[in-house]
Amino acid sequence: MSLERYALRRFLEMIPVLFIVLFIVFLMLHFIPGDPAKNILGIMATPERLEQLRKSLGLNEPLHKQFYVFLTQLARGSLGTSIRYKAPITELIFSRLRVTLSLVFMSGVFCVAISLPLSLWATKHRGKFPDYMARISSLFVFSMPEFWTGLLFLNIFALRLGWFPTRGWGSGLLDNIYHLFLPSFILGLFLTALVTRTLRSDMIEVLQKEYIRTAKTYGFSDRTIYLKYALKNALLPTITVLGLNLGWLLGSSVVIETVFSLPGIGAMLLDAVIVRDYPLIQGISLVFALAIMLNNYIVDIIYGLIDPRIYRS
Amino acid sequence: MNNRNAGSVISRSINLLFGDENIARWETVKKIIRNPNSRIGLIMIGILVLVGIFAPFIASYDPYQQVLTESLEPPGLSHPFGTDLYGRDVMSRVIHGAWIAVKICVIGVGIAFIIGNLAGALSGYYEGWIDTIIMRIVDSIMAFPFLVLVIAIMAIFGPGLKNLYFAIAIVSWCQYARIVRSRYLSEKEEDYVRAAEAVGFSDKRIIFGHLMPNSIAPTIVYASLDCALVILLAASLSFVGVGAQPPIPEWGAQIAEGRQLLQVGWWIATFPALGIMYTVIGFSLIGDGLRDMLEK
Repeated sequence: MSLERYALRRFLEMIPVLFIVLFIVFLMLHFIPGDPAKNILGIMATPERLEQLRKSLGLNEPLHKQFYVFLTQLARGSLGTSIRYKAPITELIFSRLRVTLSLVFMSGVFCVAISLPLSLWATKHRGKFPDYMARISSLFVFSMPEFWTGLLFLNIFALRLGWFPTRGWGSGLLDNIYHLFLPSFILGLFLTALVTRTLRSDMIEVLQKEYIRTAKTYGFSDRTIYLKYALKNALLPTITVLGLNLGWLLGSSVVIETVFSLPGIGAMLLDAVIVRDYPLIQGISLVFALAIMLNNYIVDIIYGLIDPRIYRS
Repeated sequence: MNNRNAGSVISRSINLLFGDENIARWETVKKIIRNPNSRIGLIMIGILVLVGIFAPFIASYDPYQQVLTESLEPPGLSHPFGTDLYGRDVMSRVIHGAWIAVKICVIGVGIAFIIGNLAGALSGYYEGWIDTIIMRIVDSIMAFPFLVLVIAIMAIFGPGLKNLYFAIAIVSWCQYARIVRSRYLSEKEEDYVRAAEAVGFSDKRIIFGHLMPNSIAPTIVYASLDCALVILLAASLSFVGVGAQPPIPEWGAQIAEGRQLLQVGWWIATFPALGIMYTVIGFSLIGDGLRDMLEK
């Protein structure tokens, strides 16, 4: 099988999943106990307003027809209108998506920049002090809730020391990076610990292989052996861990955006939950799911590029 | 040496009492206790469960009782963890939070464990269309970020602890189903299953009597790690306001309450956070220990 056919097959496999995802998102409105319109407007709503909302949400139609309307609307690039902001949901999401994506991207950068040297250092001194330190600190990072670490850093580095801004996202690229520095560091911590752990154990495994011993007998320096021979082979599982956990990052961005008052779609999701703006909740959940599906697809393709054995068999 | 003797005496008496089969189980228990990771983890979680169960007797104050004259007292003799804005004793609230943490694990993870094992068994044993349907549903649920889907479910059914257990279970059974299914696919080809089929045992008997005992171990390992994840998740949800609602002494909700007061009363949010860390470390240690044993 060629890479193109592999990519096409993986794409076709995604279609039924996409369909069920759409159905789950569609059903969210219908799982609301009781009357969704009443739930959204509250008990004080007048019958006319309830009827109006039901009509605009299409709740009076039979279910299959509503799903059909939902799909055709979506095909035209519309996710409906937000009840709270009275604006098209796609526009609302696109205006804030940049913040969330930048946040996730920057934490990915942090993660690689920290975990790569840290894991190599721990591998080199395995069983000794640096290794134990890396393992213990990763256990601590795992156990700290992100919002708590975020609050601590916010209080120490932003409020007490005044090194970083306490809220918002600023304007201009450099200002954005400055505002995102703390939040993306915190968001990336969990993944950093995970990647460090994976890469360390994979490096140790690879270093016991025979070709490494051969390289050693040739008298190559440790540096060459580690970076040129071992790391390349140990990196494959790490890329999977990194790729598949981007979903975790996206989910946690909701909490981090709340702690640092960032205007991303995660914070908007929570606003929508509080005011019961169900169409907006549906829209944001769908965007999150699509982002993860796209990400997993790309990870699969990259994996195929690095290791062609995956699709040849 | 002494230890081993004591062990063999106990196992011999257990043998007399219960027969051979239980010796194997006792050996497993001994192995779990010998592993330093799972031993420490089990002790930590054991203490947590005891504190949770006996919370009303251990805590010296009512976690809901407001004493406005004792507002924001720092940790001291009468209040070891201090008091919050409403003069409630933080230590009593953290202790009562332990019971909520235990309930989240037992109910949320428990339901997910059962549903996941059953769905995975159906999927892996029968394959065909039933497998396709279950696995597509699993794929679709896992296409959402865990936290986002749980938030959406909480938005639909409303905030509160009961809905939280439910939401966690709906989302987290998928991982169990995947693990069990892949175990069944390989385990099904083993001789003992072939033999059971040849003798004409019913599907129910083969699944529950033969396949399940042989494929449940990885899901137990995952369950202990899942407990750690779920504790973090529940705390995050309560922190952002869609999980347990104040004044319930859930740890995440307590941190949310102490969030604005970190500069004047660090103890309000710090002690619940330590509670979360303690619990998560305990479960991770158990999970790591069990996984080490499984891989050996």
